[in-house]
Amino acid sequence: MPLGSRLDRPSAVGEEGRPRAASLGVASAVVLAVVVGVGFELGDPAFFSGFALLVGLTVAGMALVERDRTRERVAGHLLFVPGASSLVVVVFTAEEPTLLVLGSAASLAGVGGAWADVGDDDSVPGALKSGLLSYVFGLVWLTLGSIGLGLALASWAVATGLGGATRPGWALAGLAFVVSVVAVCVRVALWAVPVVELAPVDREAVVRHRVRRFGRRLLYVAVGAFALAWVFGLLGLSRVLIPAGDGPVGLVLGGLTSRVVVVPLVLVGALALGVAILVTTVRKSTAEYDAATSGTVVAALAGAGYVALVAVLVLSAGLLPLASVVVVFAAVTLPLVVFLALVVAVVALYADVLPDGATPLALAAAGLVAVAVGSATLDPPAVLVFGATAGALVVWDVGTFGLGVTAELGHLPDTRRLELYHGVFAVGVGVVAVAGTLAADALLAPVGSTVGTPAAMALAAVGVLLLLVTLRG
Amino acid sequence: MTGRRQRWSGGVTAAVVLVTAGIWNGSETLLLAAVIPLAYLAYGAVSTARIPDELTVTRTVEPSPAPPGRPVAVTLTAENGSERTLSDLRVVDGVPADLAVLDGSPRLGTTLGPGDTVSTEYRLVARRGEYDFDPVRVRVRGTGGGAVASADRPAAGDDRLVCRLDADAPPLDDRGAARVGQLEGDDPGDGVTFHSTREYEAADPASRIDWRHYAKRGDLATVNYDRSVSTTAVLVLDARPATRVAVGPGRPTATELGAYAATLALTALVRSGHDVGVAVVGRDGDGPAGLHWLPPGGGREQRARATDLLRAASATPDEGEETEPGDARDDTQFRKVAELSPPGSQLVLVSPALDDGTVDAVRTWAAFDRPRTLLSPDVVPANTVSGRLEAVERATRLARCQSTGARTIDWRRGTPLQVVLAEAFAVDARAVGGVS
Repeated sequence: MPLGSRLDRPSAVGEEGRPRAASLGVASAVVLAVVVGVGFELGDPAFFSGFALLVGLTVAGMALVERDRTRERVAGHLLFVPGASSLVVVVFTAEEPTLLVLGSAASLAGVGGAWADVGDDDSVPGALKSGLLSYVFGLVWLTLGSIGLGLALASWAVATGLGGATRPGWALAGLAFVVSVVAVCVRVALWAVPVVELAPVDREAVVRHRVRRFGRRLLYVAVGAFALAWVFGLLGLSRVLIPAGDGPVGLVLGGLTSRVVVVPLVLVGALALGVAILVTTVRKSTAEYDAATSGTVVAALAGAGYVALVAVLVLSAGLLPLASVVVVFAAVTLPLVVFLALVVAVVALYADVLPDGATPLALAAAGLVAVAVGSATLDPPAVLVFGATAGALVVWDVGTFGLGVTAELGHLPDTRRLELYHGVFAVGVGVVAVAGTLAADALLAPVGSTVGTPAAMALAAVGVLLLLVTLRG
Repeated sequence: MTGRRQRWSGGVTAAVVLVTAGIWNGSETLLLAAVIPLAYLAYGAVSTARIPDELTVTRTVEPSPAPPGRPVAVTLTAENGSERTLSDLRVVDGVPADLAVLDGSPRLGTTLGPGDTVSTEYRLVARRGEYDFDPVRVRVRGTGGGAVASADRPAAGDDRLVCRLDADAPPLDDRGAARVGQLEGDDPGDGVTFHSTREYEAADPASRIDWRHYAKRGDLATVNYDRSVSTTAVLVLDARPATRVAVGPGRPTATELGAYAATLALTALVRSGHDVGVAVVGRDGDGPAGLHWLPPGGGREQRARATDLLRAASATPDEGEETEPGDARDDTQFRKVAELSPPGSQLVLVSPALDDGTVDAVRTWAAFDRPRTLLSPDVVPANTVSGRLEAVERATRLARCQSTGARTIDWRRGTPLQVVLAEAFAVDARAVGGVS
C-alpha cells in the first residue's frame, strides 16, 4: 500500500465501491503533484497546507461518523462539521482565486474520500443526517446553556443582593423565595435519584416511607416559603416593616439575609438540580439503548462538543462583545453552508448526476479541471493548465480502473502489478498529451490574435465536440 | 467474446467544461486543453484485446477425496505461452456453487509477460458428494482498458472435488488386527504390556518366567501381562432435522460431520477387533421404531454396510420424509437403540447437541446402565451474538450429559478428528461391564 493505511475496512470479496490501493496511490500522487505545482506557480509552495489539514479533518470526520462505536462517531461529528465549516471560511477568504483554491481543496477531498470510502449514496446522506442532528443539538445546548447561564447569574445576583437590601420586607421576601426554589430543586432531585431502588431490599419499605415523608415536607416548605415571599413582599410594599436599624431584630434579619446563609442555600439548590439532570440523562440514555438511541446520544454529545468549542473560541477572542457575536454567528451559519453543499451532493447522487461509487474520484477529477480553469484566469504558464487537465484525466482513468478491478476480483488478490502497469500507461499518455498541446500552443502563439477571435474559438469548440462524439462512439 | 467498455464519460464532461470555459473566458489555452481528453479517448479507442490460444490454465485439488469439513487446497495457475505481454489478465475459477471458499481467493489479476506464470491458491471446505468445477473465466483487456475479451476456458488438471465419509479411513485387513480387541482389562492376560508377577505354576510357559526375579530371590515367578479385550459399541448418529444445520453457507451440516465422525470411529473400532453396530435416529428407516439399524458385527463387510448406512443417513432427505423437530418418535427411537443394543455394549452418540433431545437420550440410556459417550461436532458460529448464546447453551447440554455419567467429547472446528477420536475411544476397559 503506497500511501499508508486506509480508513475503511474492506472485507467482502467482490464488494464494489472501493478502488484498489495502488490505483488510489497513483491518483493521489498526481493530485499532490498538481496542487504543489499550483503552489510553485503562485510563488507559495506551501499553498495547499492552509486547507489540506481541514480537508483531512472533514474527510476523516465523514468516515468516522459512519462507524459503529460511540466514541469514534462522536469524534467524527467533532471533526466533520467544524472542519468543513472552517474549510468554507478558508476557501472563500483566500487571496488566491476562489476557483483555484476550491478546485485544489476538492481534488484533495476527492482522493481523501476515496481512501476513506466516503462519498457514495450511503455516506453522504448519512453525513448530512448526522451532521444536521448534531447541529440541532448544538443549537439546543447553546440555547439551554445561555438560559442556564442567565439563571445562574440572576440567582447569584439575588443571593448576593439580599444582604444589601434596604428594606427588611424585600430582604425577607427574597430569602423566602430562595428557600422555596431550593426546596423545589431538592424535591426534583429526590424524584430523579433512585434512592429506593438503591436501598437494601430489607430496608426498601422503610426508605420508601421516609422518602415520601421527606418529599411531602419539602413540598410544604416550598409552598409555605413561596407564600411567605408574597406576604413579605406585600408588607415591604406597604412599608409595614420599617428598617430595623442596629437592634436585635436588625441583627437577626441581617444574619438571615447575609451571604453566609443565602449562598450555601443557592449552591444546594444548584447541586440538587445538577444531580437530577445528570441522573435523568444517564437513565434515559441507558434505557432501551438501540441504534436510534445511539445516534441521538452521539449527536447530543457532539452538540455539546460544538458548544464547548464555540465557548473556547469566544474565550480566546477575549470575551469582546463584537468578536464573540461574530464567532457565535459564524458557528451558527457556516454549518448551514456545509449542509447546503451536502444537500446538493445528495440530490446529484439520487439524480445519477454523480456516479455512485466513483463520486470521490469524480470530485478529485472535477477539482483538477477547476484548477485548470482557475489557473487560466491568472495567465500562468500553459503547462499548469494542461498538466491539471491531464491530471484530471489520469485520476479519472486509474480511479475507475481500480474500481473495476475491485468489482471483478474483490480485495483479496494482489493486483498491484496490474494497476501500476495501467497507471504508468495513463501517466505516459498524459505526458505525451501535455507535450503535444504545449507544442501546439507554441506553434499557435505567433498567430494568437487570429486564433483568439470568437469565430475561430467557436469553430475549434465545435470541432472538439464533434471529435468527442465520434471517438466516444 | 469481445466488447468495448465506455470509461470516458468523465473525460467527455471535462472536455465540454474546458471548451465552455475557454469560450467564456476567451482563452485559447483552455480550448487547447480540451484536446487532452481526446488523447485519452483515442488511447482507449485504438487498443484491442484478444485472448491468445497459448494461454493455458491448470488446476490442482489437494486432497481429493477429502472427508467432510476438511479444508481442500485448490491451486489455479495461468501460463502465458504466447509471444506478447498480456497487460491486463483476469482469471476467475469456477468454484462449485455449493462449496464455500474458506481462505484465499479464486480470482487473480495481473500483467503477464511471455512465458510467465501466475498462481492463486485458495481453500474450500469439503462437503459430502462430488462437485465439478465450472470452466475458468478468463478476461483480457487492452492497454487502455476499453477493449475487453472474455472466454471460458476448461482448466487442465483436476476438475472435480470428491468428498467421502471414509476418505481418510485406513483400509481394513482381511482379518482385522491379529488379536482380540485393543482395550485393556483389569485382569491379567496374554497381552504385551507388563501387568504384575505371581507365583510360578508348573503349567506356565518358560517364556513368561521372570528370570530377574529368580536371580535376586532364588525362586520362580511368572509375569502377568495386560489382558486385551474387545467390546461391543453401537454408534448412534443423530440425524434429526435440528442437526441439518451448518456453521455457514457452503459448509458441511452437523449431520454430515456426524456421519464422517461415525465412519472414522467405525473403522477404528472394527480395526481394533471390536463389534460395532450403527443406528440412525431422526430419519425414516425400515428398522424397529423407524430406525436405520445395523446390528453389531465386525469385519470388512460390516464396515461396508455401516458406511453405506451412514452415507444414506447424511444425504439430504426427500421431500415428504422431513420429521418435525421435537417429534415424539425421536424419543422412541433413542430408547429403542438402548433396547436393541446387546447388554454391556457401549453407546456412542454422535450429535451436535443443539437441543435438549441429546440430553434426554443420554439420560434415558443411563437408566439402562450402559457406558455412554457423546461425540459432539461443533457447528455453532462464534462470531455472532446468537451464536455465542447457542454456544453457551450447547456447553450447558454437554455438562448436563456429563453429569449423568457419560463421557462427552467436544469436537471443535479445526481439531483433527483423529485426535478427537483417540481421546474419545481411549475407553477404560475397567468400566466396561461385558468384556468378551
